Amino acid sequence: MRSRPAPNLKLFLAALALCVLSGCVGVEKQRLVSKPNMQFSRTSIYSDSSKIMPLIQPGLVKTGGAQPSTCTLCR
Amino acid sequence: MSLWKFSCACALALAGGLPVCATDSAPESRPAENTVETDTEFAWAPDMLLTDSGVKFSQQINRTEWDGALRFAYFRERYQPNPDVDGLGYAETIDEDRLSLLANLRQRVAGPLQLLASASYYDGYPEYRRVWIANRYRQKYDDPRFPRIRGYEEPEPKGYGVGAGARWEYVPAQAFAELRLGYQHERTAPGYMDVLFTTPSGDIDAGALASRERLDTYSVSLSSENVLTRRVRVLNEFSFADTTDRNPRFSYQGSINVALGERWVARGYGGVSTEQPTFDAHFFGLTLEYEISPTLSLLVSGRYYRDTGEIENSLPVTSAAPPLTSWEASAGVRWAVGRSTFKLQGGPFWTDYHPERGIGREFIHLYADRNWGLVQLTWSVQF
Repeated sequence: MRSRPAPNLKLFLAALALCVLSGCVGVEKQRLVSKPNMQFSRTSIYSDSSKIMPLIQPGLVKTGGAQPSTCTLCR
Repeated sequence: MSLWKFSCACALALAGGLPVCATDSAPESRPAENTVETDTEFAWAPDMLLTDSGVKFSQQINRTEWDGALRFAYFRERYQPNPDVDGLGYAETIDEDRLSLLANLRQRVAGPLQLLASASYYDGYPEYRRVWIANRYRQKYDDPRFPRIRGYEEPEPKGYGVGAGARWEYVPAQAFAELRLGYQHERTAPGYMDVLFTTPSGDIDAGALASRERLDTYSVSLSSENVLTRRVRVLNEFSFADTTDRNPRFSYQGSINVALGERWVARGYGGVSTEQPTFDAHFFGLTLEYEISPTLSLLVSGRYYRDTGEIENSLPVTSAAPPLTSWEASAGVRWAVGRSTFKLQGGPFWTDYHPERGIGREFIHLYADRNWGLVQLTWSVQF
């Protein structure tokens, strides 16, 4: 017999979905999340990303790009 | 507050938030904010030196944000052939570089809506592995001890890209959605294979046949940034990219920033990347930051990466990378002095390749396990 999700879990998931859609934190309560080191920054000063690591770890390259060399006679 | 009341509050926020967005007034006129940022990054191993350095100018004037950057990358490698498959190859030190120009524009066209545009151009080798692989073909087909083999040409890699998109702040300061479309054209350093051909005089001669040199990539990415609680900010990014002669690549990365306390921040991320028929990668990392004083912070980071090896679709010789596992640990400091902010971070990382039959043998020294060092230095000043 399959167990059904508890009503509290459903409410929690619904609340979470609504939060994602609408936001649940007023501007006046965003002191901590507004700090520069809490932003998803485009500047290197507050970013943890590396310019060199994607050259070594090809899975970090999101935009596709070419492999180091294309096949000459492809399968 | 009970969950039910919490849900109702969120529903009301949703119902009330969108009209606020739609009628959000234009930002008032204010002085321009300018930022100059320079950064340099070094990675080294006993036989490798990779650097990437740049300077970026950013400006925000009322509804317009733009930035322009100039970057220079340098690769120095101690090339070694694999004598099992390359009897005429010889060890040598090779130096190559890359010069890049990048520009981004963000234009607010309505209260919650920004239009995005970007452009980039580079001249030189996009990455260090192509430098090594191109040198393999240079030694084989343009060895200074022998005449150049017909069909071989010295590579001139370069490329450009353009992008456009929109960012919608659908709940002020709390929820953002972003869509980006991109196009990239690359002239690569091609691979070669041996061929025989008939000369006009009827003789049989050896030559080199180049692979496809020009590649196009079309990409689309969708992201959502949300403030979930007064301590948690999350970012979810989905990307699709389609490159000539390859299957589409799908990438996902989720990032979460958590304010653990007044002085502690944790930034974590994790993601996957997959491309048919065989490429899968997953990765995650965590940075902990402690604020010693308002102007001084300490950082420690750890990262992990693993993939199944690049797509192997070449019949005679492959330059694709075998499966890779990598770890990184680093520590750093960020401090502010007046209008300037500095960041210095560094540490070791390790690459561990897992050779497979038929993949990576030609370039066994390129895909050797290495112990690397990595240092990043950034200086930013606002005025």
